[in-house]
Amino acid sequence: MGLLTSPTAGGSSKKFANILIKWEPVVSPLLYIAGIIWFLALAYHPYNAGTYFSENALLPGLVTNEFSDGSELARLLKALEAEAADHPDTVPHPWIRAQFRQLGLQVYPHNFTLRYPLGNGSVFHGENTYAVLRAPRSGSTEALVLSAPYRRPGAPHPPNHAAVAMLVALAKYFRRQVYWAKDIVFLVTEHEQLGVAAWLSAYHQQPVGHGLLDAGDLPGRAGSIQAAINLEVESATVSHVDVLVEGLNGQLPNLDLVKMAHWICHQEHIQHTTQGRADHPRPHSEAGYRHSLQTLLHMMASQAAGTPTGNHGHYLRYGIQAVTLRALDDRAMPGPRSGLSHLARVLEGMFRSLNNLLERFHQSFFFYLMPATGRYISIGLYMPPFALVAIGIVLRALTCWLRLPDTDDSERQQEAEGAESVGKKGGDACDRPSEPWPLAAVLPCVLAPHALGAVTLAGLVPLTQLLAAAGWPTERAVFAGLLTVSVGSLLLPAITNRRSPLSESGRLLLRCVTLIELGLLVFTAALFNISLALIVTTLYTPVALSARYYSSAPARLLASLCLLLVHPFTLQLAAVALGAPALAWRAVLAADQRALAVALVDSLVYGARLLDVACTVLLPLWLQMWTLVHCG
Amino acid sequence: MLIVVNHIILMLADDMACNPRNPRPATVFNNANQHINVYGSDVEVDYRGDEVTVERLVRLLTGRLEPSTPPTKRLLTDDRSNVLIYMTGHGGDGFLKFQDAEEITSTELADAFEQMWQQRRYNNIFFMIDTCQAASMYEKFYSPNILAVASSQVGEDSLSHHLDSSLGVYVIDKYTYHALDFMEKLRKDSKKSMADFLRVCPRHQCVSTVGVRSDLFPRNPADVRVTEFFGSVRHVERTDRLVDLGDGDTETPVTVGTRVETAAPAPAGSYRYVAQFPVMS
Repeated sequence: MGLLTSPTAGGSSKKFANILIKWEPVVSPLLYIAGIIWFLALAYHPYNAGTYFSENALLPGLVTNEFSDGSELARLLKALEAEAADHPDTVPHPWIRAQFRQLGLQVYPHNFTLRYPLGNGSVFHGENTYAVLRAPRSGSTEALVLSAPYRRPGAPHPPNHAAVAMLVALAKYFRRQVYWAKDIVFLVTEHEQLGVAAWLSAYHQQPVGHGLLDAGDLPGRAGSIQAAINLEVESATVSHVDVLVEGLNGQLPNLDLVKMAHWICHQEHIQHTTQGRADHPRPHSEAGYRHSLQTLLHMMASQAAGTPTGNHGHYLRYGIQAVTLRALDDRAMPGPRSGLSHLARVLEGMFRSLNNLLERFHQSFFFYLMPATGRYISIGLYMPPFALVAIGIVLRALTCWLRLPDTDDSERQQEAEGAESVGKKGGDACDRPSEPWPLAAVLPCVLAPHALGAVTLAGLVPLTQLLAAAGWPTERAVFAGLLTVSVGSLLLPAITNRRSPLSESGRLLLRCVTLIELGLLVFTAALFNISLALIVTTLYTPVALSARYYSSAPARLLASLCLLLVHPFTLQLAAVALGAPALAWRAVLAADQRALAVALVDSLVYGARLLDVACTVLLPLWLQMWTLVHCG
Repeated sequence: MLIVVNHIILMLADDMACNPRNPRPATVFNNANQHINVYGSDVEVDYRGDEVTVERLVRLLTGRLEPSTPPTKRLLTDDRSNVLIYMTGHGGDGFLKFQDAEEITSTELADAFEQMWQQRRYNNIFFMIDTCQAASMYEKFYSPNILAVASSQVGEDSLSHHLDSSLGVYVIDKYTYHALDFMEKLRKDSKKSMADFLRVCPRHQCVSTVGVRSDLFPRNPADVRVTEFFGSVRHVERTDRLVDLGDGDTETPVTVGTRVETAAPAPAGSYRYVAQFPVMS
């Protein structure tokens, strides 16, 4: 019997409870604001730290990179582009395999099939090619991967022929060297992230996608993969290299690998960026701070979405540290342009350093945020401000708990009944309601939204299949399904509260449960995807703290409007609109439909959790808050 | 300036020369010019790989090796031998790292030297160590006739000298580089003293401060030639005259040129080597 079960038992704990109940409504908003200010301040240069190498075995950039075969690279690029022009509808696997075979590497094909789950359920086939360069003087126990996605002309993404040509040229150069201690796998994938996910699933014999993705088995392997680099080269002249880090569900690669990519680009005098933005020349100034802050927010937006920004995201799931290097020619970027040879030397330098490793990456950070290419905010720096922002939820939950009646104290009940008979005051926050806990009234308010969320998530796929028979495109079906659920569920309070309306203690209990659930969501999400947790906390804390029954109708209306603004559906629509500010409304809606369908497919095939969490946790939470506002 | 190969015992982890990462297989260079392969055919590695452990080093120093150990792997020194011990690698305050798995502490080393003294396995020891915080390793010595030099003090790091950018590694440390430089300029008849050698690599060259322990050494290092420890030079004069060494007491002078035939006096007592592996039965 401690504070939790009988909060009003002892004298001192009763005093503590009273202090908390009295001051919490003031303290929580203050802590929220302080946390937000602290977090935003972390983007300022003196308040974060510079990246450094923790793994000394990397010896990055110490060796002179000697790749100089630029003419071979140009010849390969030209041949590949001619091949692609001849066969625009297929991936030129025969050409790629012939090139690798001529170099003496072991070349293998890999076929995979995807049974598309939505709509009419078509079947997609794909094929990857990979070539293994065996280490000349050591056993094939470890491997490094250099992968490039092949994009056909006409694909939505920019062409990537230069990267495939670089793979062949680098394979030729690497083959002549004697210093490789690990096997090197050159992987050319099809269908963007699907090809890589399938290859890795087959390599590790781990099924992905609950039977939707049939990856088969690989004819040849190369040992335990230690690290991987994904290459996307959009043009033969390079203005800058963007180092992409965000992986599936916000997982990030080891900071040593990211730092190494930036360091070696810097050594070869190639401009390197993070989030597509180079560093501000004067980071201590106010303009510098704004620049860093914007870079930080970009990273948080892409980490919160949970979709990998490049093929490297799928390697991270297997503990293989990976980054994507995207080299492009941006007219707006000042500075000299580099050629493909420079980029090849960067890759050579990275592979020489990775070759030095005896252990997997384990020294440096796995949880961080980067406001600039050479700065990082570690988990130790961003967790305290996050905790401040979110602590209001916990404090309010505690306050609601303390205000609940004490079911064991019959004396108190009689006292309260006596007080009630005299005449009770309404709306006083310190009043102790005297009824026992109304579980029968509160339970449906909690279970019904959760059941609705679960049914929604499970029912989206059958819905698309049903509507596809009626001729609806899948995107529109998903959009319509979610919109219907969102709008229809607004009536939920009327249904659950009709039979047994909530008393005051019922409302308190429901608030307590809602706040605890929200706290649970954000604090656990903060452990592995801080951006998502922080965004949800920032938007939901003020709403959750103020979501209660208001006796006056205008206050209720205002609360409803605020709640509608943070509805998960509204939020994702706003996110899509913010991501493409120049589009007209129709285009935004079309993009939103596509985004929802893609989120669903990602959830089913790759295991991206954003849609799942939004449907099964966030939507029920929102509905509970809606019930609280409308439970009178 | 050389010590004959069969007077050298070399213990290496030996994972560099034939490492798959070595761009010049089977070679080890100590200079970026890559002129001399120090892992050449005249190098004999006595202990390599898994044999290089703290236990093996202590057994080697104290002589407690298995009966099957060949003589080339034994430290066959006696009470007139001057022993040079050079250690390098990763170290810290009071320890030197062995092979990523264990460490030898300064106390262990000091005790090993004391055992050597009690067994009369050395006349003088010259101890050189090039690691980080190297001076901590000689702090605990308590046996006589030891002269020690270390590349850095406690709290200081010993630094590498230069990078070979075609190999991608730092090939030699600052103190060892300057010590070798000093050695390469010596000849067999050089008059340089140990004090000169102890002054090698001052602060402005080594960045770390070279430490010296000379309180256990009975003579002034300035009076000791470097060739006493390096080069095993002995001044030999050939004669075919008989030398009378007397009766063993100090009053009869030594005379030269007289044929004397006396029985050698019986020794007062005799020393005997203790059995290397005590029989415990």
